[in-house]
Amino acid sequence: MNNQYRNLNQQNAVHAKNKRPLPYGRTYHSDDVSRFAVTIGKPIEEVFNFWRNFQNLSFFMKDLKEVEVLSPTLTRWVMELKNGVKATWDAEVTAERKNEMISWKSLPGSEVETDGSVWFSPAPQGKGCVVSLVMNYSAPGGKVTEFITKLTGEDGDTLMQVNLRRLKAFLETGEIPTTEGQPNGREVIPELKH
Amino acid sequence: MKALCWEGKYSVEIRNVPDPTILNPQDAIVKVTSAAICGSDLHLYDGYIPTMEKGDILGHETMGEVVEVGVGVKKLKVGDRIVIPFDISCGKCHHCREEEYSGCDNSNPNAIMADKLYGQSGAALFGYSHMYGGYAGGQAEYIRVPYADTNSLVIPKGIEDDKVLFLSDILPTGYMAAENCNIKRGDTVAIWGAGPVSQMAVRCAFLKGAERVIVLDHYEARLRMAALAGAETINFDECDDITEELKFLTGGRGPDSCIDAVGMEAHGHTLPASLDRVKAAVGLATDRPNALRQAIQACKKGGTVSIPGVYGGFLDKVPFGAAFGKGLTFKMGQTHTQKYMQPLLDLILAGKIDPSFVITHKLNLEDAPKGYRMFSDEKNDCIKVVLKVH
Ligand SMILES: NC(=O)c1ccc[n+]([C@@H]2O[C@H](COP(=O)([O-])OP(=O)(O)OC[C@H]3O[C@@H](n4cnc5c(N)ncnc54)[C@H](O)[C@@H]3O)[C@@H](O)[C@H]2O)c1
Ligand SMILES: [Zn+2]
Ligand SMILES: [Zn+2]
Repeated sequence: MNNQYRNLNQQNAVHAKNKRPLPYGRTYHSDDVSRFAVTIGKPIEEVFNFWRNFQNLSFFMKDLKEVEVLSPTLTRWVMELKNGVKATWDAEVTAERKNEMISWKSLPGSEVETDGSVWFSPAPQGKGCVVSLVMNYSAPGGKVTEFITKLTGEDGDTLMQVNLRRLKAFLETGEIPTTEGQPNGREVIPELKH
Repeated sequence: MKALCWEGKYSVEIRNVPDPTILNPQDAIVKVTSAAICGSDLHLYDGYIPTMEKGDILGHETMGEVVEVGVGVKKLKVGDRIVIPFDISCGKCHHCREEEYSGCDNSNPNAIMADKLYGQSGAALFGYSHMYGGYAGGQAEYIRVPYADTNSLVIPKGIEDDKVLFLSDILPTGYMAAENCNIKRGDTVAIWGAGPVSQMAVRCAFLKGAERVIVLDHYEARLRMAALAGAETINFDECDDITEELKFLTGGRGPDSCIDAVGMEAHGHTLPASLDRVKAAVGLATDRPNALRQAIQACKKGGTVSIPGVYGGFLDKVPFGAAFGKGLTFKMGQTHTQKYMQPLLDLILAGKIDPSFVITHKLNLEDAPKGYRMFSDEKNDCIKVVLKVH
């Protein structure tokens, strides 16, 4: 995210979180920089409850090591990348309506600055729950984003898309698809080598 | 265990690799008894599919015996003899519940790649590049099967592997290709290619009520195999103008539906075909849609073009004006294998179809690299290779 956008975001952060995911046929306000949506084939209550128990977020968010719940509205986030680089920040819930939306903002002076809202709305044709995420994030000095990009080849936005897919898979199937740990011909087994 | 690994363009090798283990609760581990080589594997062999990595284990037409199940597996039991569909589907998402299994939302851990390339990602596939999930395939002694209850069909005892193995891919694929033609009694169906997929499609088109099936290829032995089922055949090397020939054979109307069972590596000696090869080589176009072009050109007004042949990227000089001008319908995609496995097994058990006729070569797993070479370079005699593993 470049500086020009970051300033825009800060100006819009307040009204961004008051914006509902709009009724069908309308889109989000165009100044929300990072927007993602996924449809999950589960009841809204179940998806909302899963998300609202913030410690659950580390189940499906890549590289998010832990979310510690300090109080009903205060959480501490610990992100650890594969190379051991860590980032920690505190965030507070700034608005919440049960089974509808949650907004958050990192506390002033955090290593990672983030704010945003997640909305839960019914999907058409009984397809379950639409999760819409509108967020801004930045890390002074670019620490986190830089490392994410370097390590995973994924920018932050891509990572959030991946994370929402993982959330969907986890809630719908009870597991997150993986191939980590499967065999391949790249690791040669010395004693069997022929 | 031993496994057939992709090592680069035109190079596959048997390697010793670690045995697969349960990685997720709904996984099962299967001891492979038979595994086939598919025309789709040739697209990997020829280097046409992006996101392959050296050392990837290939194979997506697999069957065997369940030797271990994860705690989340409800129906499948150790000892069950199963056929494994080539697409990996979660069984729970919206698309799976609609029986659009190859459109599964959840099985592909690398979905983001296809999301960006295609707008959406389909199901993961066994042994078919990292964009399609990067799952290890079944041309190996053992295979890990995710969402094992959905991705298996239990086979009753007493029926040999060769009769049911192709429920994993080519029989459902040929069946779906015919179903997609929306065949009405008395219809004529033209099929490009006389490979294994086409052989199944020929039989399924007749099952679905086609009166005539016309098959095009340039390998006589393959055409003969299609003729055995009652198809008329055209060797395209001996035919100057395929559209005209098909028109003549169908009273000037054109075939009611056309099946492209060739895909992205169509051969051809026409000018566009040689241009395609050059363009593919320099990356300007990725696929060579010669068969597809002809299918569109030949199809009757209001007819259907059914495309089981695989395409991966960008197509050049597709006669879209002809498609529009004739009001054609297009149906295509990876097969929803899980949807067709049980009804087709019933047909096999009832003696209505026996897909084992297509097998020309049986090899040991160790000889799989030779199998690839033959299937790729000696297409006339080598029509379908089955690897016997355990
Ligand atoms: N949709 C699916 O789910 C699915 C499943 C399995 C296979 N496939 C695809 O189906 C296709 C066929 O598979 P196969 O196993 O039969 O492969 P194959 O390579 O054995 O057969 C292809 C045949 O097409 C012939 N051919 C080439 N150019 C032609 C042309 N211009 N006109 C007519 N015939 C031509 C070849 O001579 C060959 O006999 C492949 O693209 C494969 O990837 C798709
Ligand atoms: Zn196949
Ligand atoms: Zn699914």
